[in-house]
Amino acid sequence: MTQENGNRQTILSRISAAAAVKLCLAVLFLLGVLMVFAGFRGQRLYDASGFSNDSSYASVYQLSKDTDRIWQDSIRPSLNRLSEKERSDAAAVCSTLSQAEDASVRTDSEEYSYRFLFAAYQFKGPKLNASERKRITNLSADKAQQLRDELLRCISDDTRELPGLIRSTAEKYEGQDRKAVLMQKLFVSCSTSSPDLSDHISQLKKGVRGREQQMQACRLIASREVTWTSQLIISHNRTIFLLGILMMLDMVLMAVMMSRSRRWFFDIKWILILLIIDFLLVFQVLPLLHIVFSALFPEGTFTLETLRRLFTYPLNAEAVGNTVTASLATMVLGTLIAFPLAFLIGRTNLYGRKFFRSLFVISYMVPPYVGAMAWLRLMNPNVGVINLWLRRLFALGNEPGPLNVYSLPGMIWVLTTFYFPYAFITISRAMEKMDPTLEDASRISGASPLTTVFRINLPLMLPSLLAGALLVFVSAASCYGIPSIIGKPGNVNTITTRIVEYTSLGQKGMRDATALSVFLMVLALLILLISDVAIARRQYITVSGKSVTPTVIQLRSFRLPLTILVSVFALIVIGMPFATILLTSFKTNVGRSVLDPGNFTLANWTTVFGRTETMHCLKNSLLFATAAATVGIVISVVMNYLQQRTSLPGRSIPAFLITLGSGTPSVVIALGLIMTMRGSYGINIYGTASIMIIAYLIKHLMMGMRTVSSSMSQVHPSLEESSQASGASWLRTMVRITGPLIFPSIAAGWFLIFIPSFYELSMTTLLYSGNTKTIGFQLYEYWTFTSQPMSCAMATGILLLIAAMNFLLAKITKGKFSI
Amino acid sequence: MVAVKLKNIVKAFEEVVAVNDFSEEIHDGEFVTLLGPSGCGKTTILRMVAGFEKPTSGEIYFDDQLISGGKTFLPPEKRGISMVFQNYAVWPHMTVFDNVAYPLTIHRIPKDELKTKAEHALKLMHLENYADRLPGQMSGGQQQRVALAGALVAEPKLLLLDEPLSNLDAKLRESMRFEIKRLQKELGITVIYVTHDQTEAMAMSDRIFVMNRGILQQAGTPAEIYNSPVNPFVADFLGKVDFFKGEAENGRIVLPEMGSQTLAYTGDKTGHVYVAIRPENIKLAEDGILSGTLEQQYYLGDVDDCRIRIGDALVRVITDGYAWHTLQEGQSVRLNVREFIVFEDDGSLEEMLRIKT
Repeated sequence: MTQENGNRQTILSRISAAAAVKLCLAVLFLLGVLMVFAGFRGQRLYDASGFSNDSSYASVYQLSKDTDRIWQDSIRPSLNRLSEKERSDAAAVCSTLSQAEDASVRTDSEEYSYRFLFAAYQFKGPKLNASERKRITNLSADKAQQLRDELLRCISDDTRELPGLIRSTAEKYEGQDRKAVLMQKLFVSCSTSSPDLSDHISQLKKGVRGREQQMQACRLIASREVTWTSQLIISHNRTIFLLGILMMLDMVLMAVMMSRSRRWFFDIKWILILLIIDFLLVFQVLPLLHIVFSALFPEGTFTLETLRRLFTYPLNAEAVGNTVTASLATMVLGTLIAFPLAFLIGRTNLYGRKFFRSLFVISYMVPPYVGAMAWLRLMNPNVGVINLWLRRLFALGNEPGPLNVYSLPGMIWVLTTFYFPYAFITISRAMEKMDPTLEDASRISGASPLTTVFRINLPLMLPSLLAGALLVFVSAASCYGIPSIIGKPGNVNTITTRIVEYTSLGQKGMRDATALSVFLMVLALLILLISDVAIARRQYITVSGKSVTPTVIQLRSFRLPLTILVSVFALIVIGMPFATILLTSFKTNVGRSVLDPGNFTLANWTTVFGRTETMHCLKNSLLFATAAATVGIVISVVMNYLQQRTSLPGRSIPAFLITLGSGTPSVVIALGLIMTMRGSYGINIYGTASIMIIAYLIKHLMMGMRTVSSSMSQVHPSLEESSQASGASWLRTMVRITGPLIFPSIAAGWFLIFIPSFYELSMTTLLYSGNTKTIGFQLYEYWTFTSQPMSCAMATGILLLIAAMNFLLAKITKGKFSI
Repeated sequence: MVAVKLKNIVKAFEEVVAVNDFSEEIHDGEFVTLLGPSGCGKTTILRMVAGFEKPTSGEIYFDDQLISGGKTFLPPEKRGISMVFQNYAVWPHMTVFDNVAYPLTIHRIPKDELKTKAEHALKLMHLENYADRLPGQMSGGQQQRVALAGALVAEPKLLLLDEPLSNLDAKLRESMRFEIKRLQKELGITVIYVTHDQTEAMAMSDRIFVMNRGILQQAGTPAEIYNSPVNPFVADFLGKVDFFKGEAENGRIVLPEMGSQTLAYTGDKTGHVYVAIRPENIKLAEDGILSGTLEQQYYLGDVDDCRIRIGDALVRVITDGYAWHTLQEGQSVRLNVREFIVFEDDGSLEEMLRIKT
């Protein structure tokens, strides 16, 4: 009996707890709805007011409070000391003056008139001279009170003799003006106790331009219509609207999560997921949506004109054309290089396979602009090293050329040398994963090795091949570093360089910047969708039962020639550019050999790294990259844990958003942040370190997610379960079992976010401010405005640092990870 | 069809010798199984016959044609054989029909002939209704049948099967076993079959080659191998067996571990020996010559698996399941040994039985 009772009680308490949670969700949801409505209403009120700054209402509210205090503390006591006659005369003068300022002013209330006039004289009114004002404000409280009483009497009685203190200005005026000056003095003597009054006034002046708006503000101040809540919803209407939407979304998500899992209580895990989702919604989704909306609704109404300008405006059309051509060519060229290379290195007995493999993979970690700089030195039409050789070799004389890097083909070449490793890595991985018995089966069916490649390997790898190719396409289209260094001087503009240019024009260029951004973003995300959904679904899972090492294809007599071919390629694509950068950094005169007498110098290095500005930029880069990597890896670990070890509904939403973020071109992310994070949504972080860190985080978080994800999926849950079965607590299990097992990937993920953030250029170009310049941007500035040898020294420094990082990573993870 | 001759085959992977001096002939139309624990070199031999590995030394002949040895090395596609792999190796990007027809397209068989042949092969493996499916949508057993159909379609002279049934479940494995054997008989092809499953080997093979550590231990018919193993390894690897120390003298063997009880022995071995007794060859009998105590029994339905203590030795006896109703643990029993095998004790028993290489 008692047990049954107890059971019923726990059931009851559970039901009521669930009910309480549901109620709480509902209330918070309604609060969200309320906030959305409030935001809407605030927006409408603001629009109706005609003020040009939505924080005006906050000032109006503050001033109306100040006015209130002045009326209570100073004016009313003085009025009370007057005789009935004097008081009504003064009131009459006051209302006349008010109506002189603004014909629509109510005259029935004495207080209203005084308040209106007070506010109006803050904007306009007979000027007092400074010394007089100073004299009044320096009065003691008693004296000020006497002065006020006297002033009120003078206002009501024109013939009364003016007090000595204030005589000088007032004597110059007659009639209404005299009264106005006196009234002004009265208010000055009242506001002595309120030093911040002038701040509010100057604040308000920014938002109320024009006579009509000023009077409107004065009426609002006088009528005390603006309450704390209304000024809040008006001056923060976008923030409230945004928070309301977030609140609604969160509550709906939470409710869905809870009902899916049938557990009605607030779990810290859910809150974590929601926090990450909210962060991404605000700093990633909102900016991108903002770009799309401002492209489609440039002046509040829907129009396709902005997008039409992509093709009708020649500058845009040219940029779009160049980007698409360059990216397509890079994709085709890069894949054509990557596939045979991956095959030779992965499956044949080429000499030095491992060396070549790590060589091509490492070039993945080099900043694109460094490659661009090197190729610029090599293929400059006038003094490029390769051009000089070719001219000498073929006796072409001293004409410029034959190769010109400042051209579309030049840019395509540099993009290809930089982005083919992306395809190489994707294809190599697919090749490693392929079950070699599928090839054996084809051979035994009578197919020669070559037939097998075309009929088995290629079709099987087609999805990965396509994915690799599309990755190259998107990366080339989103690249800013290479087009900005090579394309711009050659007048080959791309979407990214145009976006940056338009953005620097400010409001004028915004329309075209958003149009290009929308185009680039849609292109990139569409391709992401194709390669992630369409191709991934066709990816054949060919993991073999037995671990059979792939048969190494004997190259026989081709072994040496092919090795030489690959070596020459590696020399051209990697060796020459790096040598150029390194050698240039020691040159005094760029045009001459480093071995020429007197041309070798260490000055570039000492100058560059001796400057405090360089060090400042380096510190910034290290700081921002560390912050982004640390926050990013924490999010990665938490999200992967929740995703793989729990069955919470909605746990994969952040991963989806993160994928979306990494697929969005950097320039677009930066533009979105610029447009939304300048206060119009209540967040103003423009020009700060935060906006840079957030931008890096959104772009590179994916790296951390992916690295941690793959290693966490290899830690079978049974390892954790058996630890817990042995009596270890959850925390102990994490620290002793899971932690050590995934630590290498945590370290690797950290570095993978750190390194690209460290040398980032495209987002930095748009987001930096005087204090937040980074080393990548500094390098770009040196290259463009100062000296090429010095920037080469800086580039070598950056490369050395990356190499050191890579070495450190290999050490920390005991060789398990390096880039 | 074809006879395969392997002559002094040695295969070394760097330091490890996977196959050591293997010489044997597989006759035309014979079903030969390479049997042994994992890592014994059986798959390596198969892959050398297929042409995926090149022997370090030695020669391989198909009939009288040298296909590997000296400077000659015929690549797999030129050998005219078929092979089925453990993990099926059906191509995931082709339909079942295309998979099966693949060898024919390679040999440029005319369209209608190709269609007839492929459909015949599909029918043979009961796959005619699955022709348009992709392998990803099929079960393991079905995929394995696709692989077999693809192997048979080219009418090979020689069929190589590399543990083709090991990924299937027990029931399916058993039915596939007979299916393969039936096909082999029907088509009369030579088959080399690799497995570590002795039942499979016994059921299907004309001859079994038992391998261990790269060395051929014994070649013979299933009955020869089971009943007359040449060494304790072979005896142990096929079927169940217990080994007991013994002294052979004057037509009998004294078993010191069994309280010096004796067995009658007519063979020619003398001195220290090992007596290998299979559990099914000991019978409970009222007038048995050995006496012991029933220590434990496990009732398995069809049989009763008993442990009987004789002196210091614990002997495993598998007897009729019905015996379970009459026997009590702790009860004294008498036993007759129907058959046993005698090996000379050269001190290598333990080493030989350690299966892992």
